[in-house]
Amino acid sequence: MKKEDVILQTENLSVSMRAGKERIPAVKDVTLSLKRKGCTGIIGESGCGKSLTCQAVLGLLEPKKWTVTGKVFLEDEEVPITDDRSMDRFRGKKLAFAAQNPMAAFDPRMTMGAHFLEGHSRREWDAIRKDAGERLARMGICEPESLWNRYSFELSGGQLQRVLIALVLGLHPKVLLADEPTTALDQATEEELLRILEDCQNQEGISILLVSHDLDVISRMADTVYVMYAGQIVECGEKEAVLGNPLHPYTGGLMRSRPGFSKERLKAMNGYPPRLGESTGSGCAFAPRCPFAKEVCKGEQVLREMTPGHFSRCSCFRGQGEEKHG
Amino acid sequence: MGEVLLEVDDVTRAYGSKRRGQKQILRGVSFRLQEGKCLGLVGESGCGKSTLCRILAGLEKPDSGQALFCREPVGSKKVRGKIQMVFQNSLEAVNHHQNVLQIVSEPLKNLFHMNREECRKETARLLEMVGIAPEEMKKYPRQFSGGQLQRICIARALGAKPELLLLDEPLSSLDASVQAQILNLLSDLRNDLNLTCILVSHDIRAVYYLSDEILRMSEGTVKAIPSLDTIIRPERF
Repeated sequence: MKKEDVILQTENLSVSMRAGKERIPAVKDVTLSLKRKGCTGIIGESGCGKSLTCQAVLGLLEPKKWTVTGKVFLEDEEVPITDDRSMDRFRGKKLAFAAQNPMAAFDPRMTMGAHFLEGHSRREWDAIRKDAGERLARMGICEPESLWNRYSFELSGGQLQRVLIALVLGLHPKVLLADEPTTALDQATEEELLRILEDCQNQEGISILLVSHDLDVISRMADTVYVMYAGQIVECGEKEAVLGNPLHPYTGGLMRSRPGFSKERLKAMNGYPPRLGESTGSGCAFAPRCPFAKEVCKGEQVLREMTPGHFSRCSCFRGQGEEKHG
Repeated sequence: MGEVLLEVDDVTRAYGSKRRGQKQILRGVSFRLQEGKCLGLVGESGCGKSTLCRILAGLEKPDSGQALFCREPVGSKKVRGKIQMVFQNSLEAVNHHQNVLQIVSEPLKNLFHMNREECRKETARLLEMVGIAPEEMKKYPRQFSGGQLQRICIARALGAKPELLLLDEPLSSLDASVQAQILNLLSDLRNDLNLTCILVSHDIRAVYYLSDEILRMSEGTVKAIPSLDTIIRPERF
């Protein structure tokens, strides 16, 4: 990827949790880039560090609890992720965040309208109200005007999620970090929301960093995919390469475990991902669950370019061919 | 053909007060469910799927109409234990101050009046059935992942020896790989225990995988989907 095409880049971003004198690593050396007007997807299971990566990019992690190292660049400018006060310049206008839990994202003492108008001068209110009304109507919210005076606890999870997306898009950010934006939505609303995100990408030029564990959502939206496991990127590359021909057994396992329109028994992966703080040793964190694990997996695994632009952190797995015979 | 286990006739339910305006959630829902079958319930958010489930579990009463389980009204004492529900968010479905033994043995104590030793044995058996090591029964909910906790909730539901299992979005808070594990578990339990199930989900693929028949809910009414194959849509990948 050419440097001028990249709008957001992280370099060796690491996050560790402070537990007394101990540091528990949660995100390890994440280097990722987001194309201008593009969509980069991060997939992985709960607790693999996807959301923490997003929050670290926005400098939202409390320094008392978390230690963040590494660098983040937005259009060649370094983002001061550890300086809360300087981050105000970036949050909202440049980097917007749609949090995972919409119920916790709203102040329960403020009406929906107050959330839209907060921080804007009175002169802008009419324009904001009109813009918000249009966005909400496009998101399938019936009677957006009646929503203006309602509180977060009066709305369903799906409605709140759509209001949250409308709220952040109203700020016209350069980059939208969307953390599981479709979790609480049904299929029809999910489709509608994804269409709106696509429109924002194409018409307003917003670049999207999309975090999801839904492979369907990622395969529809993203052009580049990063797969995370136990705080590390285990595979990355163009969407077609990563999802079409996974080169890490974890990605392959995720793809296989999806139900298709079939009654055949699902090929579920065994076991569960390691919990935060659970020791995985210096070797491959996925090895205990991996059907292809060998002696070499006990050693440190690095992210290597297997085919041009397609990186994997596994030296044993050779893709779908091996899977069939393995 | 199996015996009809559940008969739902013209059930209606509205929320809100008459003064401030009511919202009709269910507008005359009727269907039959045969023993041993799994019914998939699909539809948009807010169409009344969860409300219907709560009525069938006896947690809410319908405004009109009736739901009969083995010819007894649902929610009546006779059938209370025979209908069990697994909720969407497993973390909110358990008491965080109780350990797994206490959580799973609750129906065993209340419905079968088992003593402590019997509870321990039965809990171990139930946990093994859902793929959790019995040694984990002294742990607390926060020590488990979402998928493991959902398995524990299923074990608790099975403890009541249910004939009808209501699964209200049991997968939506889980990851893709864990969803597959839970779907396989539910499929095995259905075959082994001849369980009748109602699966509420907006994941059409999961519904296809587990269900024998599908009802589509829209604006408080249900419509049967004639054949499972009509819902197949092209794969994105």
